Parts: sequence; C-alpha cells; structure tokens
Amino acid sequence: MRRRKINGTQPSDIAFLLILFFLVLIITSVEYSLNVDTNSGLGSEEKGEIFNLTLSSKGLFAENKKIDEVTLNSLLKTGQKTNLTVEGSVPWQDVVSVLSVLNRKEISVNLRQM
Amino acid sequence: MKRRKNNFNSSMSDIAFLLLLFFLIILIASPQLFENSNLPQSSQGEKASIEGHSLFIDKEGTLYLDKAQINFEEIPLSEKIAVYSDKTTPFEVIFPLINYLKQNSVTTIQLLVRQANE
Repeated sequence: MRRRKINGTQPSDIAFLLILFFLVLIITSVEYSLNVDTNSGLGSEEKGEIFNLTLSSKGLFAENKKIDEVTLNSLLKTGQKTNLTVEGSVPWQDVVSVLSVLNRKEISVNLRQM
Repeated sequence: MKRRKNNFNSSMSDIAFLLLLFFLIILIASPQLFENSNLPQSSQGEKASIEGHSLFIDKEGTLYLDKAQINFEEIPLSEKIAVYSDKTTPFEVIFPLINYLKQNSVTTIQLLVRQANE
C-alpha cells in the first residue's frame, strides 16, 4: 500500500521539476537592453563642446589619447555630449561596452562609423 | 480504488504535458531567447520590455524579423525597436541598420544585451 502511494507521487514530481526547470531557464534568459535615444544625436552631427571618442581595433582613444574603460568613466561628465567614432571591424561587444559606460553617465551619443 | 489511481496518474501527466507545451510555445514566441548566449555583455542596462518589434542582424548583415529574412524597407517601423546581434558581429554590419532606423523616425533603439556581473 505504501509503495503504491510513492508511485502515485511521481507525475507530480515530474510536473514540479518541469516548472522549476523552465522557470530557471526563463529567469536566466531575461533580456536587458541599452536604450539609445535617436533624438539625442545618434547618427547626426553634433556641434559645440563635445567629447570625442574613437574606438578602433587598437583600443579606445579619447581626444587621440589611448585610455581604458576605467579612465573613460572618470573622464566623462554626466550629461556631456559625446561623439563615438567606431572602426568598422570592431566587434559589437566592444561597442556595447563603451555604450554601457556612456549610458551609466546619461551621456547622449553621436554614433558614427570611421 | 483502481479507477482512482488511473485518474490521478493521467491527470498529472496531462499537467506535465501541458506545462511542457506552454513553455515551449513561450520559447518559440520569443526568438531572441535562443540567441541569448551570444548577446554582448553589459554592466549597464535595464530589463527589456519589448513593446515594438525586435530585429536580429547576423554577421553577414542579413536582417531577420521573427526568424523571417527581411530587407530594410520591410521593417515595421515604430517609435521603439529592439535590435540584437551576436557579440562578434562587426560594427560596420550593424551601423547601417542603426542609421536607417534613425532616419525613419525611430526614437528609441533598444540594444539587447546580457547583463554582466560587475
């Protein structure tokens, strides 16, 4: 009698494990996005006091001086307008990394290709 | 007694089957979940609530909407459009799409990323 009861619980275990499996799958695959406001100057020419950044296969350059992401973070002022010129061969990951830093500082970006 | 057991077993397996179907449909309905592992990582970003359409562009510059290949002219334009691509895709492939969306009154481009732990 006891053994029968154990057999009877198996389908509910399967259902429970299925719920768990898919919930974990969905939670780990939630998307995050970097929102780029096109009105803020993306793709258009900005004039005035702007910060020029260049991202090439050789690295990240601020006003023709090579920097890393930590230095970039300290150089940027919140709300500053920035031109980001990217070399065509640069992988999307590198562009997103720089955009992340700019996004954190609420900087409007004019994204251009070299 | 025998009848009760049969009913119980069949109902539970039905639930398991329906659950499996339900989640599979969710996965199929959100194609970006499949390519999630190849999305670029970002320390910044917010949870994406995709209101408009999501476009996928591959390394060769082929554009997809819901797994169907489309041209730039076929993009269903809205104020908000999500764009996602493989982290290794060259910028020169993605930039024309960003430029096209900007020129066609898209106000916000959601660049889909994977959140990185800082």
